[in-house]
Amino acid sequence: MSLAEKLRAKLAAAPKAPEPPARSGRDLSTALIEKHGLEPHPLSRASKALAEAGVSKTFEFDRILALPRRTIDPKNYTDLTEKFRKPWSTAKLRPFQSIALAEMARCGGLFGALGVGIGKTLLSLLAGDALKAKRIVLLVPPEVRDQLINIDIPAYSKDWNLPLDRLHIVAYSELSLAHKADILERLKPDLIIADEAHKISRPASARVKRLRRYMKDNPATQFVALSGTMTKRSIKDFAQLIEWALRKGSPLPIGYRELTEWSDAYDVVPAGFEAKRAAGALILFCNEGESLRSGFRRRLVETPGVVATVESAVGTSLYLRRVTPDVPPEVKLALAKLRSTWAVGDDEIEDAMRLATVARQLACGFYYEWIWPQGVVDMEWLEARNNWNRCVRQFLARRARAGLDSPLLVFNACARGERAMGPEMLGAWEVWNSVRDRPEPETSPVWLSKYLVNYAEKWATEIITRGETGIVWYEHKAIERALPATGMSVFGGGMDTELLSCDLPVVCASAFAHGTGKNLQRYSNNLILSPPASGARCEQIVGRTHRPGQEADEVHVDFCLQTSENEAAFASALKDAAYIEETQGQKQKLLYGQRIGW
Amino acid sequence: MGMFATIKEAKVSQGSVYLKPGVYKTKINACKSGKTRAGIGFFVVELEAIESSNPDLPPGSACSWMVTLDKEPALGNIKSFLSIATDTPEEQIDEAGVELVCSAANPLKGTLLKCSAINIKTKAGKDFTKCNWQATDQSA
Repeated sequence: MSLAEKLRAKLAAAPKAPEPPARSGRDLSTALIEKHGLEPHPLSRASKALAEAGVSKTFEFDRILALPRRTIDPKNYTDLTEKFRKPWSTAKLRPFQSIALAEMARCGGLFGALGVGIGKTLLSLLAGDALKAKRIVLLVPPEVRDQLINIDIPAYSKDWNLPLDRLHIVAYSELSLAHKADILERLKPDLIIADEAHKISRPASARVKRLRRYMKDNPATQFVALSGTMTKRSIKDFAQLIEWALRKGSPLPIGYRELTEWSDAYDVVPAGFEAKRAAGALILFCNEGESLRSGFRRRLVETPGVVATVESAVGTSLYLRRVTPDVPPEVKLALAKLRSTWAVGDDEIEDAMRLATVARQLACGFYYEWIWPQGVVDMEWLEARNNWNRCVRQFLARRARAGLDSPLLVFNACARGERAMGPEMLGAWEVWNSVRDRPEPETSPVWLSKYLVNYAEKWATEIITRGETGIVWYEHKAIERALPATGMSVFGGGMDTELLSCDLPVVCASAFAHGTGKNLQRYSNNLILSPPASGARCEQIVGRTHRPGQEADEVHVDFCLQTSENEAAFASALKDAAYIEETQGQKQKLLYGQRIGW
Repeated sequence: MGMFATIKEAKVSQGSVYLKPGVYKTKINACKSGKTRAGIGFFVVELEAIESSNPDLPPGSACSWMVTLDKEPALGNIKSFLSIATDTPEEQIDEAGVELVCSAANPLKGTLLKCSAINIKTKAGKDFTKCNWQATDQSA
């Protein structure tokens, strides 16, 4: 044996040196953040460098990158009608209903971003059998509960085997009630189905906290999330829902820090601003030349357990019309004063959000004023409040910075006596704090002009004259009280059954109370008096009438865009719609509807 | 005007002692970055000598290793140091990571490193203390 061979043999026989610790394969910044849980200050150089470097390639990122992909081709899915249908029935499941039932059975849960009108109600009723659940809780918005119990379930029971003996229908509002705080613990569901799941997108709400606690304490609970509008402006809207549905199969990061990085890169930003964070590792989801959001959309919809519809299920044409009722001089004057002085009546406005709210009220022809007990104006309270609001407004306009960019944060900083706030702010806070506990007086509308109510009446008359049907959508209580004088029937909150059984050709409906979940396809014209700034809300309202079952050839939606604030709200809704379509793939009615008058 | 009237504007000198030739086991107290009065960027590691072969820097004494960014090998030296101190391959040392190391969170505080420091002559003929860093067992 040569020396070389001897040495090789000796080396081979020697115990192997221990393997070096596995390197993370990540940049130092990511490794430090993962190891130490660092959260650098938003204004620090580290934060700026991180934002420029983009989204990190973490272990969680690698998990998501490695998740299996599949594209949904209806040809690859069996029609499950026979499995759920009663023997004598001839009813059929729609293709996407079969696909969704098959996916939830395969993955133990479902994230169904299903377009408005795709048939989610039947899907939610069949999910219990598809998942072989013993105790099922179906969460629904309170405003659709009556329709579900009195109309939908009796109708579907004729054709389908529904697990009614195991099904508990719980309104989302019940989860929020203090005396029903333990409702989930009492029912002990092994399957929770959230219809209109966007109702539980706010992580800070009591209902979400209770649901999160139950899901954490009962990790074997299966979850099905169904909605036509899963997201409004942020991927954070549905991150929790998709995690509950798919657990480790979720295509979104489970940790908050990583989720924030992703949302900084993907979410809607105000006009003129850039995304808070560069794409970084998210580029790995994109094909060559593909946009960032499109790459994310593919990652999302190709994940097993995610079913997202692209096309609308409605064959009816949709027309979106811009209407501009003539604004009378007194309303124009009040709007001009509001924009230049941030004041309306005797009231000063503190922040841009409230300014927009008041501008929307003025666009309807009214604003709210205080009603003082026994007519005695509490000048001390009013002046202290106005002065504080003015100071806050000026502070936010000139000195706002991270951690001090909302009225509440400014209030808290003054309450802590932070000297950096300055003597004027601290003084204004002190005076306001001494009187702010006094009860706030009631408010009452001050009408400048009922031009919009009159416009609605004229619009309704035209609809009736043409022999068509329509809904006037409103959102303010003042309008709700003014509309009956025109002779139209008005359906506010708590009037679900009345609206659903009403056969009048034109009705007025509260957008908040009836703008989600209702089947109102017997109407084919819509007048939206105050267009929402949220694309998701617009989609929902339009989807009440532009949905399967609509017998008219055309659905018309008229948006009142008579002021720049209403125009801005609609522009914001369009931007949201583009974001939803780009990230989830669902065609948005605001984008594909034929626009008239723009 | 009182005797201490301009105290607010006064600059405080940290009075750093730099590593001297010798072999050390050190503990990192902080990593910082900033600019000198001449406007030159610097990266400094504040250390405590745990073991020392140099009687001028006995165990327990505080010392610093400073790199000014006006010289060509500066970033390479910092990369090499951070690679060892954080057990990260050199190609993965990124800007944000260095900023984090220098941030108030001070993530490297308490890390133990060996250092052998020797005097060499620079191209300009000046004395320069070159530090070679090595990883070491983290149990003090």
